[in-house]
Amino acid sequence: MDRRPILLVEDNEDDEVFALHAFEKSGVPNVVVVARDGQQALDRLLDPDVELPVFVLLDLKLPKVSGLEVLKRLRADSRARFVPVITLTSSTHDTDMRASYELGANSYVCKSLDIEAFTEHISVLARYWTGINMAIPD
Amino acid sequence: MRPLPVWSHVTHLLSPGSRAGRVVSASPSVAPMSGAILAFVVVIAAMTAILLLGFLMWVDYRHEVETAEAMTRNYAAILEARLEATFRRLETDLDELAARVPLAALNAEAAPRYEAAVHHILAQHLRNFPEVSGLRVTDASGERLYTSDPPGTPRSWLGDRAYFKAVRDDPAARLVFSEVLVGRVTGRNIVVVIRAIRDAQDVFRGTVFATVDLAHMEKLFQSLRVGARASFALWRSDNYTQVLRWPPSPDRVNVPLPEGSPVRAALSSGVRPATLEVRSFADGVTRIYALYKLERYPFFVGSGVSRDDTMEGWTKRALFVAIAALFVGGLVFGLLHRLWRAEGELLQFNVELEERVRARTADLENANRELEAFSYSISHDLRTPLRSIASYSRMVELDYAECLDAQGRKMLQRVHEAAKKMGVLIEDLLRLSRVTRAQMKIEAVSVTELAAGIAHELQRQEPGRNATFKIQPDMAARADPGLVAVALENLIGNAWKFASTRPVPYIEVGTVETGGDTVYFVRDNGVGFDMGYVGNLFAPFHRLHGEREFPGTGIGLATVKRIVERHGGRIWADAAVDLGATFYFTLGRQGGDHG
Repeated sequence: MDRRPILLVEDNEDDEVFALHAFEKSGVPNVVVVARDGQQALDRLLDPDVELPVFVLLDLKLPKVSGLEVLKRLRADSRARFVPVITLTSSTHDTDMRASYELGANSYVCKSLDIEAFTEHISVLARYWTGINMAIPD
Repeated sequence: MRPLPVWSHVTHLLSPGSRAGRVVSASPSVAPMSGAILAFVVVIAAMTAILLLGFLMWVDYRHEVETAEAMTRNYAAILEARLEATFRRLETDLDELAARVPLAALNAEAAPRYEAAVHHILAQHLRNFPEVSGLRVTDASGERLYTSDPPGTPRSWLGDRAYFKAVRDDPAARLVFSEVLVGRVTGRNIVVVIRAIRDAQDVFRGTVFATVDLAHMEKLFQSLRVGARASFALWRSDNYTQVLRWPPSPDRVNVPLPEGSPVRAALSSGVRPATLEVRSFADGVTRIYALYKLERYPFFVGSGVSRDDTMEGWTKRALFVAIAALFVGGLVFGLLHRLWRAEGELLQFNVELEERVRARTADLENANRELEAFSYSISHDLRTPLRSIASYSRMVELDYAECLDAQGRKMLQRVHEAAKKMGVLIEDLLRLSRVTRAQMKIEAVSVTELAAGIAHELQRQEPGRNATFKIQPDMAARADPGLVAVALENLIGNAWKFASTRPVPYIEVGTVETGGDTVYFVRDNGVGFDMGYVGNLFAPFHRLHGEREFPGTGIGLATVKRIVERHGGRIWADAAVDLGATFYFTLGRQGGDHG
């Protein structure tokens, strides 16, 4: 099991609550670090002195630096490029999903109105990236 | 992805690939071509008309010239006949006189004796002979013994005159004509015509001669006048001297025609009558002349009309035709000029129109981008608070149920349901917007397969319903498969919904052919509706049934209508309360606006 922290990048407080709720329900014991905008996330991810997260749950709509931009810079960084990223959007536009995968996201989750479905979706992904998938190099 | 116009009819008018766009770009290349052909035809027609007119005028000119030539020939012939007759009569008279004057009277001593008798004879012959002003008789010496003049006229002697000598010395000479002389009695121009009197032994005994009054002939010429500048003339044919001319040219009398004169050349050629066009030495007028040589006497007559006078009518006509041709030509040129200018303006207008179309298209694309941003914003920003409401209410419901009584739980449930319903509404609105803007991809679509798939899915979701689906096999269309699927989902979904209260719901999907168009229909045996409300059936948010009875947002049929319209088709409905409803639609022949 990978016990490194999970990085949640989310500016909306309610959405932060729902995501944390989902992690709690998933039973994944990892610490969740929250970044409130894209710049904060990058500062942490690109700092060589800070441990890389086990995965990033990245909202696309963020203040300062957008989620897609964060993803792009992350994938361009030699150290952090293999960190798994799950993008998160409240829009139902296909374009967000396509752009996410094109920039190298590993998963894509739409913020559903159905909290149970959302919790289930996040739980599965959290369990996968912390426990099931062991093939990601450090 | 290129943003798309919101309204399909706007797309028709303004997008560069649409029919309107093609018309605009085609007309500038077509219009000048037709203009060039028109101009070519007009120029050819004008040239033909000018050539034809020219030919007609030339024929007219030839006709006028021939008429003038014929006229001058006729006048010349009249003059010739008149003069020939006069000279014949004169010759006959002189012959007769030569026979009647007794030889014995031809000496000066006998003259007083014979005077009365000879005078009588002479006077007799002179009567009714206006061309001759006098008749006289001489003896062999040239002494004039008798005359037709009144008694007492002084005697004269002609022995030294050339014409006397000519008639005396040449026994073969029958009749001799003098040059033009001035009459001693009248002071007028005369010509002496003289004849010898010889006895049985052919001895020259005297002469008898006549003075021909040229004034009388001049009157004849005058009486024949045709046109102000007509001309008549009498020349000697032996030495080409002028005897008489009208209009008068006294200084040329007895003067021979110059060597090389065309008249002299025509006369010596022997052609009779000769017709020629010649510029007069006397007055510089160019005339069409006809020349006749007298048969027995050494004269020829000429009759001429001024070419300018003769051609006056023709010249006027030619002038009129030329002015008319110029006028018509100017008119044609003016029309062509205006046509060309209009064409230029049309070209300019088309360029401006295309520019405007481009500008409008750019505006429209801008508006579409804004709309895209707006709908993105709706789907994101509107859903975010909604998600909080839905999620929190559900979380409380799940995790804190024991803290609430039944009433509280129920109210919380209502909050959750309302939030979800609003979520569906937003989704439907977004779909309507997407259906309007999505780029269309026209391809072969199996409507049967789509309908069967939807029916299967509905039955899978609610297996408890005992519904009957009748789907016509082999329904095909050329359309956008995604949009047709959305339309069928809505229509079949509606049928499924409104037939749900029936013991055996029946849903039919099929086609009918009307006027060469394939009309698709979706029929159910559901609750139907009152046709009185059909007017608002396809408007967004409009519902004919209560939310309690049948859930829905009222956007489904508006979406279907958009889809059908984007394909260039029509949609309409037929229903009755409790007797089911049928929705008909067409998909256009070429598959609509192509995005």
